[in-house]
Amino acid sequence: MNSRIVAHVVSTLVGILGLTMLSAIPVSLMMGDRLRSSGMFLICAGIPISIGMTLALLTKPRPGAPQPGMREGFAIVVFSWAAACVFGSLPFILEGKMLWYDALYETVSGFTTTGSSVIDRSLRLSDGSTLPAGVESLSYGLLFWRSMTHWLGGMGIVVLSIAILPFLGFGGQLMFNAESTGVKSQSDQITPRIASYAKILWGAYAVITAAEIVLLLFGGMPLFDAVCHSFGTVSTGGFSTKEASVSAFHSLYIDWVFIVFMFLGACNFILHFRLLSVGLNAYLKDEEFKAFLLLSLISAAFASFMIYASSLTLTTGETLKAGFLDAATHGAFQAVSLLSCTGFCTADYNLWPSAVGFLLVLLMFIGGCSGSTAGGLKVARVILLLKHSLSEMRRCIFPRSIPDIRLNGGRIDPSVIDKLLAFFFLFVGTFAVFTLLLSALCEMDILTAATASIANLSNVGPGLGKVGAIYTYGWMNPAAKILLSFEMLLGRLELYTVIVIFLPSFWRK
Amino acid sequence: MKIIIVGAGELGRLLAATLCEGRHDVVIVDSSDEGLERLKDKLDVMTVEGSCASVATLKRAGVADADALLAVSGDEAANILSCQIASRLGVKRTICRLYSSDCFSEEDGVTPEAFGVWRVFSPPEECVAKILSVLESKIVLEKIRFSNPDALMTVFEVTPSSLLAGTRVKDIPGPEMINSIRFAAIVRDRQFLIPHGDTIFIPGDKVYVAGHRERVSEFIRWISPDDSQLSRILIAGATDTGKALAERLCPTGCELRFIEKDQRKGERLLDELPAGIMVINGDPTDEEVLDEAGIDGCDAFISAAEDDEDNILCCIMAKRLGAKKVVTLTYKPEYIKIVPAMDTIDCGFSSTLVSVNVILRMLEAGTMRIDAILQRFHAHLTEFKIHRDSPVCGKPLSQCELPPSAVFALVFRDGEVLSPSGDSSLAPGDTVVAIVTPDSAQELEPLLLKKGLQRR
Repeated sequence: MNSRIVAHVVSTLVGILGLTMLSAIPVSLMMGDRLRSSGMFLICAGIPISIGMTLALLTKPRPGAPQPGMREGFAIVVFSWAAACVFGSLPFILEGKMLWYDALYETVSGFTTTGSSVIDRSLRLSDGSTLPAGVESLSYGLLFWRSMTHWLGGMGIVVLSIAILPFLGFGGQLMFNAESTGVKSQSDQITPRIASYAKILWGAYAVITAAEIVLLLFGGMPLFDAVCHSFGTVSTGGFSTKEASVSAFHSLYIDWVFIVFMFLGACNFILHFRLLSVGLNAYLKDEEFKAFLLLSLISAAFASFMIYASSLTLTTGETLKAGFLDAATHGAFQAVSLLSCTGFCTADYNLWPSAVGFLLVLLMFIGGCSGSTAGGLKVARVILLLKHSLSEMRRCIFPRSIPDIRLNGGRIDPSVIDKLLAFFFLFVGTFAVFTLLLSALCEMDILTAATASIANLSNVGPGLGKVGAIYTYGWMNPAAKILLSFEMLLGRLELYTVIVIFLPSFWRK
Repeated sequence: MKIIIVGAGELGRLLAATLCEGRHDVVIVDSSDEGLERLKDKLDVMTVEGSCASVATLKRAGVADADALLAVSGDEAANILSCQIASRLGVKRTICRLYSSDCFSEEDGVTPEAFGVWRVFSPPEECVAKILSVLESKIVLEKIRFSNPDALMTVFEVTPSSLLAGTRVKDIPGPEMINSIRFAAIVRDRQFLIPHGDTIFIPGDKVYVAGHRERVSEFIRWISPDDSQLSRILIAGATDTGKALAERLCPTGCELRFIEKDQRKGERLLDELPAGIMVINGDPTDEEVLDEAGIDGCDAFISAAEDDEDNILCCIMAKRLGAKKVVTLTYKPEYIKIVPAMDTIDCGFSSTLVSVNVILRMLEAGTMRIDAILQRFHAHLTEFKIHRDSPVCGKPLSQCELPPSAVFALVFRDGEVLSPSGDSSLAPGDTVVAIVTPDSAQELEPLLLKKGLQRR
């Protein structure tokens, strides 16, 4: 293992992270935070900038050093994420006065675009005080940084670095693969250089985010909230600047803007880019997109149907009789929010029929599309698992036939299917083990433990029971929070990337 | 006519032999002298050893005064290059053998002409066309085309349930149909008969019928009206030909199953073809494998594997296990001569022979004679151009002293297809298609002046 190059790249990334942290200062000043809190960001940003830059200079690769290989790629991605989470939590600790494990949970939740929060009215801060208005008591600078972590983590901090740092061109492919999500098909690579590919992804990402900001402004949302919520939607994160999440804005228009952009965030971003060259056919020809659309429509319709004409409790605490429009909006919102692994909420679905609750948990397992910012198993994997099962059934009758499993018309190599089955096993296994550990470490019922585990593994955010739409994770004990932080990271980097680091053979020659 | 053949493989050697027999000057070029030496002992040809794609070699082969260059080596790129060089050096007709049809693309302006290639052909594609033509109808065994695109000769089998079984030729109803087609030959018990009015068709006869394309098709439809759509086709061997066949059969919506010994080849086939094709990984000569693939009751079984012996064997097995029609492909032309000896194999094509016929037809399209080699019995189909001085010119055919085994199947006059009968007479400039056996060739030649014979 060439640890020098790993240290060099990771410390460069830490430096960049510090630079992005500076962006909170003008926001903070403009929104009228106290000068002390704006100044605190200078310190928070200064630490990663100085440490990162110094280390980067010290570990500058010697000329003629060997190119980074597979192991270095994995190590760079995992340690970059770990470092980003540690340094990204500084503002929460220094400015928000949160305890280190609360701050860590909040930051990991941000970068992994989980969007589950520990911040509520009863959270104990390091000086023993509490936040009188929950999230809304935080300074604007900190709220902005909180949403910023979503946006940075959504498309991936390593992909971002590949896009903007030319020197990462080497081995970029390895790191890109280690960080990006889902099943890759050959047609996904549309440029010969990974750096230009990463630029395209970030370009599409930025354009869609900007579009949402504009649409939210039309709906009468203040600019600050529009920016923060757009960061949280397109990255399928879920941090809100309001206690009551999205329903605080009392607008069906805004709800539907969220539904559309949560959906877009959970699509393959390459499809969004192809829209420019191929038009709508880019979407219609994509099997995964079609399945995802169908799944969204069916689950939205099912949820809406089940809550129609019942009494609906919004996250603001209001109750209303669900008419057609309300049922459709809130049913679709919750279904798309959990399927896309965003985790914004408008209504308390804990109170909904249990069939809807179970459907929502199933949707959390599936998640969004490959190459999106969403978590979960990914729709492409579910399609392939389904096709593999059908193919194996057919092989009962034709035992000598060669499996022919296709995605978008192209045949998938059997080795990919093997890896997929292992991934599925690891995913379900991780879910089970963390459910067990969680209920062992912290007193909670089985529904809460199981849904908290899957909500964090799939980077969704809210679960059912005591981690439902109107609850936070603040009540959990430190051990549970650290455990869940690790689980979120596992889920975001799709298990393999993190787990290989722990293999003894990874460190041996 | 001076013809340069580039590549002394199976195809090159058969071409050389055929063209040599037709009294052309043949020069054969190959990079290794192994095959060339033996060829020189056997045939009256000139051999040149050297790189096929070099100017010097082609010059040594006398490219400057050659009329045609046939690039038939196994290397696609070298074939194109040979053609390009030859065309630069003044050869008008260059024919290039390719493996796939995607070397050139008309839409993108990458035409063969731009590379100095006059005509292209790919043996897999030509075989596929042959196979498809016999899959159209259950009773059709082969279709043969001529220099006149409207003319067609079809070989079909008289089945026990056929309308023709037990009927005399002159008793076939519908004079307008019968007069426009010609029963050229019948193969019965491996013997070659020339049918006349009183000949009775018996089940098992393989009948050669020639005429205008549409008339012949009408006739085939008339005797076999219940031709249903193909629903299941088995192909043994994931070869280029198998793949090309699948590509053509896929859009028809029939169920395609491949049997392939080599797992990797099977997977590569699946990678290249659209969805919906099953590949069974196993030996096609294994009964269990054939059973699993659903051999019983399948409409057609085509063996297109690389190994000739396997192809013939698995076809025999497939027929016994219940395949309705079995078609075998072989590489060696010799094997096709033994296929008719096996009653269990319905049709057989040799890719080499098919390619030779294609090339002969291409060369003919201008002014030369054509030889199609018949696969069912030892005979050629030859096109003759009737010369003004020919003794058969202007007389009714019944009065000409023709050898008993010679058959005039078709006459082309001003682009029209005619069926000759005893009363018809030939005019100068007519083209006659004759079935020529080795015995009748000697006697026919003085009567009909082959244009190719007129040595310069």
